[in-house]
Amino acid sequence: MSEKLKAVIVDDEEPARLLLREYLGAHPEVEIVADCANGFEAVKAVTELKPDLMFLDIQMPKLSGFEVLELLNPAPVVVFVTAYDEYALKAFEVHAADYLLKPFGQDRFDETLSRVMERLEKGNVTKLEPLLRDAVAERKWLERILIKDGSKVHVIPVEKIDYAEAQDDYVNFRSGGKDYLKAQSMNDLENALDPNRFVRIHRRYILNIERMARIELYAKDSRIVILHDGKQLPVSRAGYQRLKAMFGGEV
Amino acid sequence: MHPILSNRARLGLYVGAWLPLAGLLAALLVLQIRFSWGQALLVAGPLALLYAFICLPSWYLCRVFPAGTTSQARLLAAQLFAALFSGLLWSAIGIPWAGVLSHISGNSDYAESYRAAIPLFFAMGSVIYVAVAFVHYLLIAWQERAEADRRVLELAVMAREAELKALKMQLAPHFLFNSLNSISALTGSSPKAAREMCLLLGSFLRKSLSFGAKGQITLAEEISLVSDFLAVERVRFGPRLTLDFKVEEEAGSCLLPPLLLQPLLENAVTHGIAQMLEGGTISLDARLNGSRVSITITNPYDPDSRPSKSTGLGLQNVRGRLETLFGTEARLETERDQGVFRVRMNFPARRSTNSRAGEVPMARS
Repeated sequence: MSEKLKAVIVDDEEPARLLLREYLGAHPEVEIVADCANGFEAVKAVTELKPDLMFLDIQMPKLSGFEVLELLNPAPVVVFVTAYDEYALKAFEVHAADYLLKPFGQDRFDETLSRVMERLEKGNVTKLEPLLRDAVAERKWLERILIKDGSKVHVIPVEKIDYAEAQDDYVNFRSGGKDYLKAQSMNDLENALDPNRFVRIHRRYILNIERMARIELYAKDSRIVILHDGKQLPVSRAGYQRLKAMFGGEV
Repeated sequence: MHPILSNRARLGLYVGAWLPLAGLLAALLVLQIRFSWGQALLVAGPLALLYAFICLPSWYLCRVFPAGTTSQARLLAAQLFAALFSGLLWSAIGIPWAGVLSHISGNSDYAESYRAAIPLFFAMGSVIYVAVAFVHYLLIAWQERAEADRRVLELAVMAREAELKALKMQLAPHFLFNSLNSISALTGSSPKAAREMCLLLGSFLRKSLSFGAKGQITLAEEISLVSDFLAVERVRFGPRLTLDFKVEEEAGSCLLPPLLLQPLLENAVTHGIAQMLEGGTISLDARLNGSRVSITITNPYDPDSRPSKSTGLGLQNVRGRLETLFGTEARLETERDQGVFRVRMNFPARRSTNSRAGEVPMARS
């Protein structure tokens, strides 16, 4: 390899970043292109600099390491660096190259780097659709939606979403009078959201039921939902059955 | 539950104690009324057995007029009245019993002689009733004592458990791992800072172990412990963590359970500061309000992140520890308000009798 490997370091603690920098000093073939103190900086750096390798802390403010990964496609080869051993399995599931437990020494770090080299020769397979699947597996409902907009990241708590609308391979989230587009399937989204708060009212719509003002008969066998802000959404027959089941037939 | 009726061994003992009483009664009948021994035993035996059970309900009266809390005059009046009534009842029951014995034996001696014995039965009945009531008071006192002992033991176990939990929590391994990682990082770039951090960590661990073994420590001691803890965290978080501590000097000598504030400050760091991109200030205010100590801890938090379960556990633990030392005298409340999390507590100001404020290790600057 004639060109240097580009690496990004992501950790919210400065001493931890310093340590990685020091250990990497023994490897002139790797160049540190960015030093990020949080997940937002990480998403921006990776999007703009396209590094080969990322050292990623997990517990960080606002965006966790896993959430950062969810937003990066394609993602660089990832090495998790954390004091918590309970995420090892999850790290394995997202095909991280390695999982470094703090505190670690230069020897262990060098081992990691050779694994990374192997990974890069074979071609990176850090693949991610982890969070949605995870949410379902752990029976924990999605609490916020992460949307990447260029190198910027929007974090929308699910309760602030009015509704989601399918648009080809994307989902458009309507929240606070704004639209946010995210590459995602409607079915995955529906499965990840708490069914007591979100209802698939139509093939193309998922509604936050707190936003619903009323349901109106629009034509024979055809209904629409009217939101508190006056917006109207179509309700399919199956969607109407779901609403009826939810409100005990009182709609 | 009646302490004698509900326990077979006690009931046996009680009835057994009536055998000599029956003998005594018979002897009195022989000596005073000139019954023959056989007649006396026939009259007194069954009546004594019956009276044993007539006296048992006095337990309920003893419960209604407990010794110590009731005024002595009321207690005496009630028990005296009950004693006279029981004696009267007993001596009256003796009349038909003597009649029955006369009828069976065809000897009218029983009924006639018994009439002469009525005052004796009345007097003996009243005295015996008083004796039984006295036994009941003793039993009640004994039961209460046992109950109190049990409660003290329970409380001690609870306090011990709370202490253990606190120790476990405060030795959160992630804190240690992260700190060791920081030390390892600093050894390369700034050996002096690494050494300083080792010293802080050592001081914090030593204080947690020695304070944790005590039942109570002074607020100043607790503050010096949390200052070490936060100084370690400041190395990790750098300018993201700032502190604003105001501790009134008079409050510093007041006593509190050890490691009471430490879990709260650890929460403030891990669930507050660590979740904020820009970090923030943890403030602690401790002061004396009349005869009570009030302590307020605030930290900023990210309103978008959900309150974590472990915060709730930590708070429950703190509440438990306050209770073991102050009972119902302590208050603890929390509030979330526009991105600020606040824990407020107050408890009675107590000072150790041998005040050694001069020896309190002072917080590191």
